[in-house]
Amino acid sequence: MSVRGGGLQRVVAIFIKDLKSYYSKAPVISWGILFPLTVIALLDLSARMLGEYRVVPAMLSITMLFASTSMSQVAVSFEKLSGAMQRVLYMPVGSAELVVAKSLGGIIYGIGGTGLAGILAYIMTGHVAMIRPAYFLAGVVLGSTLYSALSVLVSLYYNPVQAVAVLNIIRFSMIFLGGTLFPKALLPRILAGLAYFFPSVYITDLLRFGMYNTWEYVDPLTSLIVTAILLAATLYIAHRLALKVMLP
Amino acid sequence: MGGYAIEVEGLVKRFGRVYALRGLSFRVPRGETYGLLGPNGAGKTTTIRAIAGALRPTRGRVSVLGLDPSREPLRVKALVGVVPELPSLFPELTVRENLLFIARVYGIPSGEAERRMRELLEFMGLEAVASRRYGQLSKGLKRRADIAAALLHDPEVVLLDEPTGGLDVVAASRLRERLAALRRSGKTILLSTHNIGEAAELSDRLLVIYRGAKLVEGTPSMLRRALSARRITVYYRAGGSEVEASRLEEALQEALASYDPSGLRVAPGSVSVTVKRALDALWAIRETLESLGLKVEDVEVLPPSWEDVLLHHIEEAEEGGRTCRCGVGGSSAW
Repeated sequence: MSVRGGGLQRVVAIFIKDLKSYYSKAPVISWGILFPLTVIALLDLSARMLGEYRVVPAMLSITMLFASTSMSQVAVSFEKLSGAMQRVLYMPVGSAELVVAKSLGGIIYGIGGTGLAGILAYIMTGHVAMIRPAYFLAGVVLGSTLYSALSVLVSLYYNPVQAVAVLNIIRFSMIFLGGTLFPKALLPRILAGLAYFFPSVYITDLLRFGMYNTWEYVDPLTSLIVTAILLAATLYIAHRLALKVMLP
Repeated sequence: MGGYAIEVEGLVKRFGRVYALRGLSFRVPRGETYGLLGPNGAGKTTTIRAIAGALRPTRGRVSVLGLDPSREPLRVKALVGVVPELPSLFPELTVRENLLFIARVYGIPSGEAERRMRELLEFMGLEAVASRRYGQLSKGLKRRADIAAALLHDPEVVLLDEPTGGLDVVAASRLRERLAALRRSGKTILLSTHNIGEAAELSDRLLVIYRGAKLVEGTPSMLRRALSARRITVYYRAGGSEVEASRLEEALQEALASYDPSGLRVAPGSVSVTVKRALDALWAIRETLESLGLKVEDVEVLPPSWEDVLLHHIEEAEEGGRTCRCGVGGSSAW
């Protein structure tokens, strides 16, 4: 999947237009900013019981998930609703370019939101550990990109109303079953096993390893590889789907 | 490719079990305005999407300026400007921001983009609303902005899908004036509409499609001439006896059977119908009315309206199960 000559210009143009149009939309504010803030506040209470190394990476992971998926979903669904997606489909924009451009806003929001949550964590705990910053950074960038591309895929495939419902199922499954909110030790064995099917397990463990040099579910190298494979698979499927949407 | 900007040959498109297009063929010479006419659901939008590289045909061949849109969609999209059926710009951006965004996507240098934007805003009468959000514009202004957006990259071929659909009479008439000016610019235009008057006014040639297939093709005057019929309206007065409309309609259908009637309308005090051999048919109507105790007061005989022409062909196709399978580029049903 490559962006052809002149493609970068098209990708950037669509990305800037998306930021201008959608960054202040209600779903982005509520799901991308307010909801993660509420979760952060709740997690602050549990941090004292469960330990900082469990709670802070989970908090950052949840923020990343909601920030990136909400922005990408709005950027696709609002255009489907307004009819403007039709215009995009008639323009010389390749399917790979469309997926990358539509994911970019979510990636930036995911990274920015995680940074904001990190600042809040610092305020709450008085310090932020960062023992292996490269792993942390890889977790943030790969995670935001994966979540954003996943959201683009869902929003392209489903109609706008269905997309919201499907994304909420994915988001809340990741929070409660995907190794972010509940520590592995607190989950029944079957649910702990189920957690491995969610990308959030690997992303949260990458953040945890980057910050505290420890992991809960999967070792960091495996997490890195699995996340990269999931990202490549998601981008590939989104690209194929975009192709189908653009030339049915 | 000769002098044809668009060539469509045996185009078939199936969505599941439904055939949207059934072997449609036509050619549009360069620089011509070609009207694609038909009722809702005839397959006009599907045809436009296939030509624009936004739909892969099930069977058949499409060529736009020598390129196959399903194989080289990006190259075709760069050469074609499309005005979709519904408003399609970004509602949160102003008209100017929308045009700037489109210029960036098409890789138009900023100086050139500014110049073209100024020209198009003036041409479409949008200067006063250039800084207003697209989502806040009236339907008519939105359509003008849609057309400006489609012309920004100076395409050789312009595809207009129902450009005046949903507009009031004034807005539609003003938009038609601009479309007429666009026609004079020498671009190849494919105009899809269900408004036959509009198609006849703006097109060099017309193609009527129905249920995904070609019905008739020709110049507007050929189409009108081909229907050697007249629209007769007879005004009558009830001579003391009341006649049910259904009974009158039945009697007229019977009396006019040999005159190839279409579009029969029975209203209180008048009947109108399009028929061949108008004078003889007029006598038949008079006799029918008088046999029912109704007195003829006045008579009006006019050439058929464009709507009558379209209805005539569609009714004929429905009755005979006929769709034109003739060759492209000028041969027609007559």
